[in-house]
Amino acid sequence: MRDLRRHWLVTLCVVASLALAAMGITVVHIASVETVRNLESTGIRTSYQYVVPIATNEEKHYFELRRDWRSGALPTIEAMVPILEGTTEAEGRLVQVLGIDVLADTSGSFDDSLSSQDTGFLTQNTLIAIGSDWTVGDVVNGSTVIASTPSRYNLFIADLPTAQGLLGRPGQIDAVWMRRKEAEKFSFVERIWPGLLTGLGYRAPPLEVEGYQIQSMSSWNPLHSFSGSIAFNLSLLGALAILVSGFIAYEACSNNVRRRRLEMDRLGALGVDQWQLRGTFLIEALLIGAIGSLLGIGIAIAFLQLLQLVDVSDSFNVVLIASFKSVAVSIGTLLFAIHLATSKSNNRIRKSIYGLLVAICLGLLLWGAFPVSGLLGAFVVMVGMCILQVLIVVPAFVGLVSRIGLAVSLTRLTWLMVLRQAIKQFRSFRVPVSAFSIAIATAIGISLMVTSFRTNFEDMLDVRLRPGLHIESASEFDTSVASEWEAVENLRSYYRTVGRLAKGPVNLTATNLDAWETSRYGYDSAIERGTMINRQLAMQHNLKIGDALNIELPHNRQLTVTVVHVFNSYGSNEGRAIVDVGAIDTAGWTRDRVTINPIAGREAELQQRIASTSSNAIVSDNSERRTAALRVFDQTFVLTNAIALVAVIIAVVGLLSAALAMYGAQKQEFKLLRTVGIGDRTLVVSTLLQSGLFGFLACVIALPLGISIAWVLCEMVNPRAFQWTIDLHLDPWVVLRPTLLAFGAAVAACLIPFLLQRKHP
Amino acid sequence: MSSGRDGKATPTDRLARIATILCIAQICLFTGCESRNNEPNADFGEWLGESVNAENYAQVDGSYKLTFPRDHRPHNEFLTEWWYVTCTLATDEGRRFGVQFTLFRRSLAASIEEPNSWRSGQIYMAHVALSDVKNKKHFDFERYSREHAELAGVESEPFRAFLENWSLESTTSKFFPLTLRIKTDAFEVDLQMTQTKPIVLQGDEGYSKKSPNHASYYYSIPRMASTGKLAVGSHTFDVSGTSWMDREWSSGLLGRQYEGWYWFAISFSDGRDLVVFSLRDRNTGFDDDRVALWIQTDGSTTPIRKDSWAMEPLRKWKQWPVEWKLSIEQERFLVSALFDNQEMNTSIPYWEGMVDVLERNTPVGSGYMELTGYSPRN
Repeated sequence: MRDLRRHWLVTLCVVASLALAAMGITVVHIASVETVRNLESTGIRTSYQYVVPIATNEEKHYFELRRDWRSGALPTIEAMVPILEGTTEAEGRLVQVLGIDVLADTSGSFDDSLSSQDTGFLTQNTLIAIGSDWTVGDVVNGSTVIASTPSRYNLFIADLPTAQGLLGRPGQIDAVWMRRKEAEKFSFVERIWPGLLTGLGYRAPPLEVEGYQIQSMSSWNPLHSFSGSIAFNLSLLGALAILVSGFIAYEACSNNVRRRRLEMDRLGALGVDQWQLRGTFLIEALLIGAIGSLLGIGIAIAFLQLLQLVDVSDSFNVVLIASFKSVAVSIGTLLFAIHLATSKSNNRIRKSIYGLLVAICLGLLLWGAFPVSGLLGAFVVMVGMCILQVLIVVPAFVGLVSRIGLAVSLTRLTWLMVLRQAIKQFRSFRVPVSAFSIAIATAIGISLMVTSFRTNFEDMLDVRLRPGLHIESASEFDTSVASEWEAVENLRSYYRTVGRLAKGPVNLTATNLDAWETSRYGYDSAIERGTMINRQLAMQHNLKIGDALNIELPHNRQLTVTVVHVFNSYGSNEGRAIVDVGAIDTAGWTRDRVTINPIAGREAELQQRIASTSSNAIVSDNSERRTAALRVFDQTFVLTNAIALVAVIIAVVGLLSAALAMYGAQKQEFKLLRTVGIGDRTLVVSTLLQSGLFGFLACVIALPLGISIAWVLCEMVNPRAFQWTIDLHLDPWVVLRPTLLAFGAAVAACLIPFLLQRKHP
Repeated sequence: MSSGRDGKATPTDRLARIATILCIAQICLFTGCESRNNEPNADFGEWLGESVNAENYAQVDGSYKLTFPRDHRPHNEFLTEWWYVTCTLATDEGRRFGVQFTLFRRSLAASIEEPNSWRSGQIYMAHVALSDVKNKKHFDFERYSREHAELAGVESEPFRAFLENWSLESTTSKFFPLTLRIKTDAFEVDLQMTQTKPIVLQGDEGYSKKSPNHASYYYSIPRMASTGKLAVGSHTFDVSGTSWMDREWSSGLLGRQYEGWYWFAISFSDGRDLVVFSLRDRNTGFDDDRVALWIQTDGSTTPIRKDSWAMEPLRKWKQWPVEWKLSIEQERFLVSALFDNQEMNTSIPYWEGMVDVLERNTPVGSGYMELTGYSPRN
């Protein structure tokens, strides 16, 4: 302990390194969870994996399904609930209503905070208001608000009979939601690593029961997989941040232990055994690890609050999980570093391990390059590239720079010494430079991928969401009446069902595939006997344009269509095919969606009219949907930039830590330079040049890795995880922004020891 | 599933909370009260207490005269009630099984706004269990539902008490014979039950006083001859034996001073039946109003004076006393669980299982034992 105090600056660096590592982990975790939460709005659907639409809205079909389930027809199902959805007008506003029989799914646990309001939910006309201005006690359309939650999403949640009353649809239901038995055990994984299940391609296996159209929830709630995608990509960045943190913590600890090697040897000579020595380090490690982690968690919370990204006070459990992760990784890294540093070094063994590591990395890179390796392979490629950066690229580059530097002959001794000093520093900073380059590369890679993703996504929204109204739950909406309305310019119905291909089920949509509709998917003419499929379906079934699809439809019907177009879809990771409604008999299909393009300026009028005509229709404006989708993306941008910033800060502190560790040696160098007559001004200029050169070289190494990471994310990770491809846009500003930031930070980090020695020569 | 996942009051959390009403209701079904506590699973007795809203319901005051078949129906004007059946069965080869079916009703509110088929204000909970004595295996399941003609309820003519495909129902327009049907992932039961003894009105003509201020209406149908089929896993067995039915309803069964009870229903091989129960005082563990009743071969009943009988626990499994010494006047019996682990792993754990009765090491009867409110720390 005394030693820790005596060398407080080095101790401080170790604590700072760990604190920043913990900060990185905490920020990434909380940001990922918050992203998923924002995207999934109410979150109720996420508890269920399947949907059975009740086309006739008759309750009896729910009871039939339930009876079949109870008699063993659906052995993988744990629970099912009947659902009623619609829109109601409340105090001049249109609000969505979700009616649910909560008693049909009673996996709830004990709770001590129930009130009479809760029992009132089942016995009185009461509701929960989400995202609206209503407060507890307000009476809306005859129902009392018993709870209200702020959200961007306006929704009333009510017990099924209350919702039936609110929507004027007694005795009706729209769908049955079903939950898989083992879903809960997997949700634990999601809590530890948000987005991992989606990223690994986990989805509820198709469920087929004769007489029912069972669809997966993610095809009904595309944002579920979309949010998973973003969370997963953020988490990947987090994984790399952890890698960087690990390097830095390792370097800081190693320096600390190496510095104390003499002390250890002396104690060893005095008879103190190795385990006792390690015990001392262990206690120190736990202490430093705990302080560093807690500090990091505190900084992370302050950072998130400061940027107003997350209301941390409202996410106690998330913060708790993030904190556990941070503490575990920080202390684990510290112990590992101490173990390595206190182990007796053996050059032969080290070289063998080095060779083996390089061979393993190359082997894994090769394996990951094959699509058969899946998402794990893509992930391995990314991590492998980073490790090779440490093992091969940085040492080779450092060697090259050293040779060039040594070969340069400068006439002025001063500059020659400056150059030699820079090379010496660069060589001794191999580990922090590696971490630094990985951090910058990660920041570049993720920023490029997200920018590219956003560009692609915006392009898709531009063509897909044209100005108009979108009506969900539209089975009862009378299109023949609506098409007569004056304000309607264009009205389209969309039918949905689940068909079967040889390899499994496929989500089918039928609509009028005229040129207007096909252009929404990037095709330029009408399709009569063909089909457009999304890239996910093409990848899942190895389909290409010109292939024939033989689809089994409900009621033992068959449909054979040719693939004429493959389109990008970022909504869901499920396969989808769109056929012309004229080519099929819609019996057995659910008309669940209608789009209406109003005459300009008459959107609001039409929206009111739709709501008053059909209480079960959920109306939304395409422009609002587009804005909402992009808002999520923009928020992700903020998060991504914040996380990239954290990665760079971690790396810079790593550099600073290494620079401070060498502070003693540098002091001697500066003394020597002063002795040979070099003045302070020259030293400042030379140190600046030295730091600049150092920062520049570190950034040069990072650039290729950064672009490679972006390429792997766009071309390997995303297609393998979500079956969608992203066109990589090499935006120079996106590349330059983190690079310049890192460059400046690196220069500053390397200058600090010099400034310190000027103060205490 | 999403309850309290991240500490944010999401609608899912709220709904999960509302769903827990069922659990609260369950407690009330057991206790006839509405008090709640923070440690639901820790100490069943802590859940016992005075009903706070029971005054809005009909009260058990002894003025009501039980008549049948009318009183097999639900009494929604009371807070809570249950239909309880236990069966001690065996195959021709002597392999023994026990079956339990209990359907609880609970009123959520004395007044309902705009009642309809989905909103009657009544919810039901069912517990079913099978004891496989040979393999010492106990399977138990729990379900909830709101009252609805398609989901759960009790119908009068013909009688049918059901929660989805678990049901106890009359096969004709008369109450007997009864059919018990249960289908779970682990076992299936299809039993027919016929009456062999008359209905036994507990207490004073069915008015069963539990403490100075608490009572229930309570009747039993002992020793129903039972035959049918039972399937465990892939094996199906023809079984026969006897069943016991209990019916009880109230708006406030227990006082705060009680933490649970023990209850035994035993059929002796000489044709007599015995019911023994006692509430357990939170402090003393005993109750002055404990009850023991002989049901003679001809169906006539003989109450046993409180000072003439005693129960003494001899051995515990976990917190549950699974072996007892029963003394009734000059007779001494050993009441012992057929195997220890017949714990009901339901929302509130309790012990409900088959017991054998021995007199001088000779089996003289068998039946069911129910233990509630035994805290693990006891």
